[in-house]
Amino acid sequence: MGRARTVFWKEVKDLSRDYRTIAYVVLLPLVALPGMALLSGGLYTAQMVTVGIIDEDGSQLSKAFVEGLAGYIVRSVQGATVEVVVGGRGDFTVIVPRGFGESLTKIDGRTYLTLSYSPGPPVFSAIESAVRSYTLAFERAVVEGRVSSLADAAGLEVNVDSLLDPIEVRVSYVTPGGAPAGREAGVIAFSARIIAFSLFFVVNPAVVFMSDAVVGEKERRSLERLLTAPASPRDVLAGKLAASLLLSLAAAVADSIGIVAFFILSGASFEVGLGLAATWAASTIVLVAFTSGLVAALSAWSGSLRSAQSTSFAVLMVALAIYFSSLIVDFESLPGWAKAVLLAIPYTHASIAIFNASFGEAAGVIIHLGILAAFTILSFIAALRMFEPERLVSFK
Amino acid sequence: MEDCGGLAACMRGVWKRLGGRDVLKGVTLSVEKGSVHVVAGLNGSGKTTSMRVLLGLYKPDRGVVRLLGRDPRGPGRGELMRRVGYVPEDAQPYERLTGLENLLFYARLYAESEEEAWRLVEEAAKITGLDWSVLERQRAGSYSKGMKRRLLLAAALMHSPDLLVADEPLSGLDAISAFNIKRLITRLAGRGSTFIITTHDLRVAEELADRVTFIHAGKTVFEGAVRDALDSFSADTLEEAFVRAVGGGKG
Repeated sequence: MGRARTVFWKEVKDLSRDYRTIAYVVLLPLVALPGMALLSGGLYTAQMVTVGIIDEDGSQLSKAFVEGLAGYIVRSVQGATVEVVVGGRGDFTVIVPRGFGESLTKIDGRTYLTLSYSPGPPVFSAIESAVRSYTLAFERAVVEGRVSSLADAAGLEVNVDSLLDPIEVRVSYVTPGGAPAGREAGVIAFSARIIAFSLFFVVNPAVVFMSDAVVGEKERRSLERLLTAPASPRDVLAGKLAASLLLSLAAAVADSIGIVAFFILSGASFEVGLGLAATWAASTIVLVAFTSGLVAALSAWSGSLRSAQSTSFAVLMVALAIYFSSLIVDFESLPGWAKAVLLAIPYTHASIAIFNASFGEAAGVIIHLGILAAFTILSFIAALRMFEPERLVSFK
Repeated sequence: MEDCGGLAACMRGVWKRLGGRDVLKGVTLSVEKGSVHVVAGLNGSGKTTSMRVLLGLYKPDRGVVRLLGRDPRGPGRGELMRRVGYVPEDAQPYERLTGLENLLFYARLYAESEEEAWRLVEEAAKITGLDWSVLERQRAGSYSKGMKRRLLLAAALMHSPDLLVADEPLSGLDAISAFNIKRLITRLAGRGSTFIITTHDLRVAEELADRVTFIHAGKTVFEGAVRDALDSFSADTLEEAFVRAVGGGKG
């Protein structure tokens, strides 16, 4: 253990003095990710959009609609600066056609609105959404009037709300196991997806530090000397793994904070309870350990720096695929063969553990973290088998 | 099989295949205790591979290897390596560590206690003749090539090994750095240490060697005392003897 500790000391000193890499891997996410959110948010706010509303009808009703719509757009479209011009065209134009008022005052009249804009910018989608919301509310008032007049004509007493909206949708969240979950479960579940996605950024530094510790040392021509010192390959590997783990965890913390800050500053709701936070931390530690072991094995097996980089890149791509899918895919709903493939990939278990934690399902957390821990032990064994002096010294 | 008893290092009929090619095809080496033994050969002749086999970094496909009387890949390798020092060809110190940290790292691997480690560092600093303040303050990456080589030699010698293996220790050094290192080797050899030095420069061999081994195309073509080499090939210099031994370089 003493010699492994000495190698660890050397590795930490050596890696931590690679200031440029440390800056890229640890400091950059802390600054760049929140910065990106602030920048994109700032740029969004800086947009100036003109909404033109043309009232071709000029009726009492159309005037009321235009006035209400203008105010609603200004109030509801957040972020960008929106100016509404009544009577002229804008970047986004709403045309209220001739006969608008007359159609709406008939018992079964129907009219339309024309929206004219170049598709693409999210702010235009937000304006369209505002127009649709306001129109829906206006429609409802029109329909209420029609229903009331029909009811009066028929001599009936009618609850207009019940007539128009006879089915109310009530949501009751449950855990994947069927137990009731609180109203906050939706936000927590979304937070869990963000956390699962952030695990990709956790994997990345471990790849950088571990491949550098193995192949980098060979490239810097100091590995052969180390392998003839009175430290066994196991001591050397243990020291390197421990150092890589320490620095990768520091980077992982920075990355996790950065990615969560990015989503929060971008306007996403984020809520993490104690269980989810603990699972997040445990998943991060085990995931970094697994990736370090895997990359150590792959780097020792690769035989060249280029090959080590390519295989490490492949590992990153698998992790990216899994964690990006975590944002949009429910693993439990996948067909059996797809689930079997995904469960054979260690990275999947970190995602599933986090989803389980978001619903308070401790057994699922323990099972999937346990599987990931077993994969981690296997990765260490593989690394030890690959960390053989002849293989390392023979690198091309 | 010839006996390896009493020799500091011994290889008998060693073969090694690497990258689909037989790099060693019957290397024999007999290094006597207390001698400076030069292994000479052309570039690519198998000198470095021989040293790696000798130090247990490579497993021989065939043949016998003994390092200080033991199998270098056998049990107790850690203990054996405490008695050996090695400076690989083109080796570099840890450039982001200071010279002192480089020495302390190796000292901690060899020593049983922190006090002993610091004693070894002080010893190594004396051996190199490097200024303590330079070792303490400057990162090894800022050292000259000669200083780096002296630092690596110091790290290999700090634990007073019974045998030091230096692979091309003088290649690429300027005249003064090479002179300093040769003087260091000569001084330590005078104290009874055993050295194996590989080189492709026969003038270095002539200056330092008690005994020589000529390796050519993966085979030992001569092994013996410097005087015997000159006599065997009716040569005035080792360079001339070597050229004759390898048949003018055809292999």
